[in-house]
Amino acid sequence: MSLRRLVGDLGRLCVQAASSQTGIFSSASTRGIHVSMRAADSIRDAHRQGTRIAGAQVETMEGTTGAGVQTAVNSSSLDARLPVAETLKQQFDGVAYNELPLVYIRASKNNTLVTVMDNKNEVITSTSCRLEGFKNARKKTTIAGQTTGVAAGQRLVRRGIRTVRVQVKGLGPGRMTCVKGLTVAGVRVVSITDHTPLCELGPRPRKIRRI
Amino acid sequence: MVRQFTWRGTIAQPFAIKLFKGVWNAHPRFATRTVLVQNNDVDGAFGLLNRLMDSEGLLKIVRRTQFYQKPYMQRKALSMEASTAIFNEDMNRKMRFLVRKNRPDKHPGQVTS
Repeated sequence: MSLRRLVGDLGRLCVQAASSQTGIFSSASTRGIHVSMRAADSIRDAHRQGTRIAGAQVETMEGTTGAGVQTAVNSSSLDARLPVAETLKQQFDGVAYNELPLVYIRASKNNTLVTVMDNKNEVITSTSCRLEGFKNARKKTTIAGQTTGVAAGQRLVRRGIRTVRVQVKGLGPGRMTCVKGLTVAGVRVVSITDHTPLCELGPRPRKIRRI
Repeated sequence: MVRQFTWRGTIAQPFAIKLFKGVWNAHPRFATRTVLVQNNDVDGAFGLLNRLMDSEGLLKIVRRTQFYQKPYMQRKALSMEASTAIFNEDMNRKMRFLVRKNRPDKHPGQVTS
């Protein structure tokens, strides 16, 4: 591109110089010598621009931070972070693991729903992005997810529940932020379980979106 | 009699264990896909969980079953995967050969000192 501009300028300059000397082009205005713009294109310039390859459309999945990272990690502490059979009876703040209240988080693409149940499957509290004052497209933001988590956590703290386990379902903007919100409110999260449905055998999914 | 059409998923996997309905829910809930949180470090726990789910191919299932892939897309994806695997295998072998360190001669091909 730079070369093309240079050639154009030079051409115009030459014409002006020639016309001032000989007067041949005196009637002509400032029109330059015809330079083929294709010829002026330098291959090197074109290469420098680079070929823009539109790769396969990669769907970004929200709430999957950490996936696809190939860096080496310290795996020595990995075993301590994964549950074993004894974990179910392990005491967390004086309560056995399988008797802790369970926070169900449904992180869909458009909303985040939180339901807290005790170990007898009775609902302690439930909330959602809409109930926290987010309407329509605002529901599908990470901030809405975090606010919902904080609100649920505050209600839990008010009821004297400070230790919970969490089960998340679905990949959505509220997946990680909602759990973060729980901790912000002062609730201790003991474990995070993923329970996203993986429907490999159908029903047949919807057709591809055309945007 | 109305014959109901049942969708049989994507291309049949020849070597895998045959899928059944609700396979994702087959194990006890807190036995799999669970990460314990240490010191309330939720981000670290999620990082581990997402990484494990990704390396086990669970996120890929989500990605693949989000929209219906037409048969030509399925075939294309399958052959792409196969050729990538072949390329990666050869490239890994080549890299391992190039960076190997336990050769008897420290500087092969070098005549002096």
